[in-house]
Amino acid sequence: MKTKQWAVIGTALALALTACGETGDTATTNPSASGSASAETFKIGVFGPEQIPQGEDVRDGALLAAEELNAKGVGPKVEIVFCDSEAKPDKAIACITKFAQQDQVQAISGGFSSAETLAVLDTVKRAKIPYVSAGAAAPDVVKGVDSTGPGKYIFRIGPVNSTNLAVDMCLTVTTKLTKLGFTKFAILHEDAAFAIPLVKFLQACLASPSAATKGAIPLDKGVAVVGTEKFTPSTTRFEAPFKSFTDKGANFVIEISSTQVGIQLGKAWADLKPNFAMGGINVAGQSSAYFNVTKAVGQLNGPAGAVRAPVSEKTIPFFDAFQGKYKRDPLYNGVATYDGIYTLHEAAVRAGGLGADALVTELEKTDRIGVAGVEKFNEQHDVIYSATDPSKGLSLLYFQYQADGSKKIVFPESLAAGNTYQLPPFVKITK
Amino acid sequence: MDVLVQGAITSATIALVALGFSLVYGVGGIVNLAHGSFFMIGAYAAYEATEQGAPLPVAALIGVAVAMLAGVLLDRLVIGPIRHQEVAVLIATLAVAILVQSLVQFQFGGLERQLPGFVDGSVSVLGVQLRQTELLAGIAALVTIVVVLLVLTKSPTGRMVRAVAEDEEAAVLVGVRPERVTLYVLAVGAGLAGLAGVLTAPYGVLTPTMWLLPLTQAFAIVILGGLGSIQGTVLASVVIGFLDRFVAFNVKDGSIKIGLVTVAVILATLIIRPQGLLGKVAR
Repeated sequence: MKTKQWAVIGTALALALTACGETGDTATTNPSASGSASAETFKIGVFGPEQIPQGEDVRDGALLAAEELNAKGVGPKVEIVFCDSEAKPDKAIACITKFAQQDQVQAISGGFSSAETLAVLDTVKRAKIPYVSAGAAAPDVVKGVDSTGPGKYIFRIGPVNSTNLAVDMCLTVTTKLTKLGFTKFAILHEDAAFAIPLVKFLQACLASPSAATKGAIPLDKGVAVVGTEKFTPSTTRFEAPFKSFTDKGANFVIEISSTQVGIQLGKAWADLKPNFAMGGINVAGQSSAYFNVTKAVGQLNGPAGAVRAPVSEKTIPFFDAFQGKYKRDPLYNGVATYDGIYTLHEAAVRAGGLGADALVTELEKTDRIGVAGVEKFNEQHDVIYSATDPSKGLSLLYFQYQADGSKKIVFPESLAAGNTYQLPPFVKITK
Repeated sequence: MDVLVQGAITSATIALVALGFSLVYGVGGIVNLAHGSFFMIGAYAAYEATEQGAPLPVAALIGVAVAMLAGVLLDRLVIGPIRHQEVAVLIATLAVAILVQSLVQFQFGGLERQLPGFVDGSVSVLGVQLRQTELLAGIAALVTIVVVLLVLTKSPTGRMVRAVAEDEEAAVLVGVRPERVTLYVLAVGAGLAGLAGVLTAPYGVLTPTMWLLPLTQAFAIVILGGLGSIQGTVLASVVIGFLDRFVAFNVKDGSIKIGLVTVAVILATLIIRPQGLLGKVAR
C-alpha cells in the first residue's frame, strides 16, 4: 500500500469537510434607515430557512400578517421581502446585508435558530435597522441591549429566552410532574446555542428551585436528575441514551430539540417504548405532520408549544386563518413572526413614520395582546415572561399528543379545559 | 448485549457501503471519494419518490436504481478518461462529491428530511429492544452481503471480477475487458451504497452532508481491513460496527463522538499497520 497516497486522501477528506462554507459581511448603514414619514410602504425584511417547517412558518406567518394588515388599510402598506437563510449563519448575515443595501428595508423580523440570529446581530447594529427577532431563545440575543447603545435596534418578540424557558420547565417539573408520580428525571438535549444555557439553568433549578430562581419557585428541595445526554441535529439513533436513562431508573425524560431531528427522537421513543415518559421542547413536534410519522401518543410538548386554544382573543382567529391559508398548524416561530410584523406595524403607526429611531422608541412602548399573549418588552428589549400572571407577560403552555393525534393543552390548568396529563400507554411508574 | 445486537446491525449496514468501496479499489485501483454520494443519492431519490406518491418499496427500488445509474455515469463521464491517473481520479471524485452535495443542497435545501419507516414499532432480540425498521435494515443488508459474496466466489461473473483484481493483464489475455468489469463493479458498488442509504434513512436524517460519515467509515473499514481485501472489509466492518455501538453505549454523549473514533481508527491503522488486517504489503 502506498502511504503517500493515503496522505493525499487524508488531505482530500479534510478539504471535503471544509469545502462548503463561504462568508461575506459587508453591510453598511441602510440608506433608508433614517426613514421618511411620507413613505407609504413599510418594507420589512424577513429571513429564515424556508426548506424546513421552522423557516416556512417564519415566511408564512409574516406574509399572513402583511396580507391582513394591508386588507385593513390602516397605516402604511406592508411589503415583506423574504430571504432564505438556509439555517446557516453566513447566509443569514448575507440576508441582512441584502436587506440593507439592495432591498433597503425599514425593519427586519424572523430568523430561526439562535446560531443564525446571534450571527446577524453585529450586522443589524451597523445597518441600524430595527430587528424584531422571532425564532431564537439564546439569552445573548439581547445581551448588552438598551435604549441608547448600538444594540437598541434589537428586540425579541418570541420565544421567551432560554433562561425563562428553563424556569418554566423547572416549575412544571417540580410542581406538576412530581405530583403525577414522576420521581427521577433525565435531560436529553440538542447541542445547540439556545439549549446550552437552558440546560445549565435547568439543572441548577431542578437541583434547588428556590435558590436558582431567587425564590420565584418557592421550593428548597429539588428533584433527582439521573442523567444528561446531548445529541446533534444529525444524530440518527437514540437507543444508547434511552438505555442509559432506563438503567438509571428515569421515569421522565426532558427533551430539548429545535430541529427536525426531533422527529427521529419522537419516533424512536414511540417505537422503542422505553419505560419513561418524555416531554419538553420539540419544535418539530409542533408540526401537523409530526404525529403521522411518529405516533408519539402521550408525548408532552412545551413550554414553547403552539396550539389552537384561547390563549388570547387573537389565538384562535390566527390559527384558523393560518390553517385555512396554508393547510397546516403553525409552529411557535410562525406565531412569533406574525406577532412581530404586527408589533412593527403598530409601532410605525404610532410613530407616524418609518424612521429607525422613531420605530425603536415606539417598539419600546409595545403593550399589546398578541397571538401568544400579552407582549411587552423589558429594558433589554426582551419579551417579558410571566409564569403565573398572563396579564404581565407571556405565559407558556404544554400540550400532550392524544391517541387520535390531536393536541390537548394539559398545563397550565387555566387553558387545559379540563384535560389532564395522561401517562403514555407503555409507561408504568413504580412507586 | 445491546452493543452486540446493535453492533451486528450497524456492521451489516456499513459493510454494504464499504464493500462497494473496496471492490472498486480492488478491481480498478480507484479510490472513489464520491462513493459516499451514492449513499446520499439513494436516500434522496427514495425520498423524492415517496414525495411524488410512490409506495415505499417502489421508492426504495428507485433509490437503488438511481444510485447505480449515478455509478455508471461517474465511470463513463469522469473516471473512464483518467482511470490510470490515481491523483487525478482522487481529485475528480472529490469534486464530484462536492458537486453532488451542492446539487442536493440546491434541490432539497440544507436541512434535515425524513424517509418514512418501512415498518413501525419495536421487537425484542436477545432481550434488546430494537426498532423493527432497524432490524429490517440489518437483515436486508446481511442477506445482500451474503449474495454479493456468493456471486463473487461462485459465479463466472465473480471469477471475472477477481481475475481483474488479481492480475489485470492476465485477465485481458483471456478475453476479459477490465474497463467493462470496472463499470459493472462501480455500478454494483454504487447500488450497494444506495441500498444502505435507503435502508438506514428511515431511522436517520437526510442532509446534503450525509455522505461524509459513510465515506469516512468506508475509508476506515478498507484501511483497517486491508485495501482491496473483501474478507478484510467484512472483518473490519464488524470491528467498526461494534466500535460504533460501543462508543454510543459506553461513552457520555457517545452519539456525537462516533465520527471522531472512526477517524482515529484510520490514523491508528495507517501508523501501526498500514497494510491493514488482511491486506498485502504492496500491490
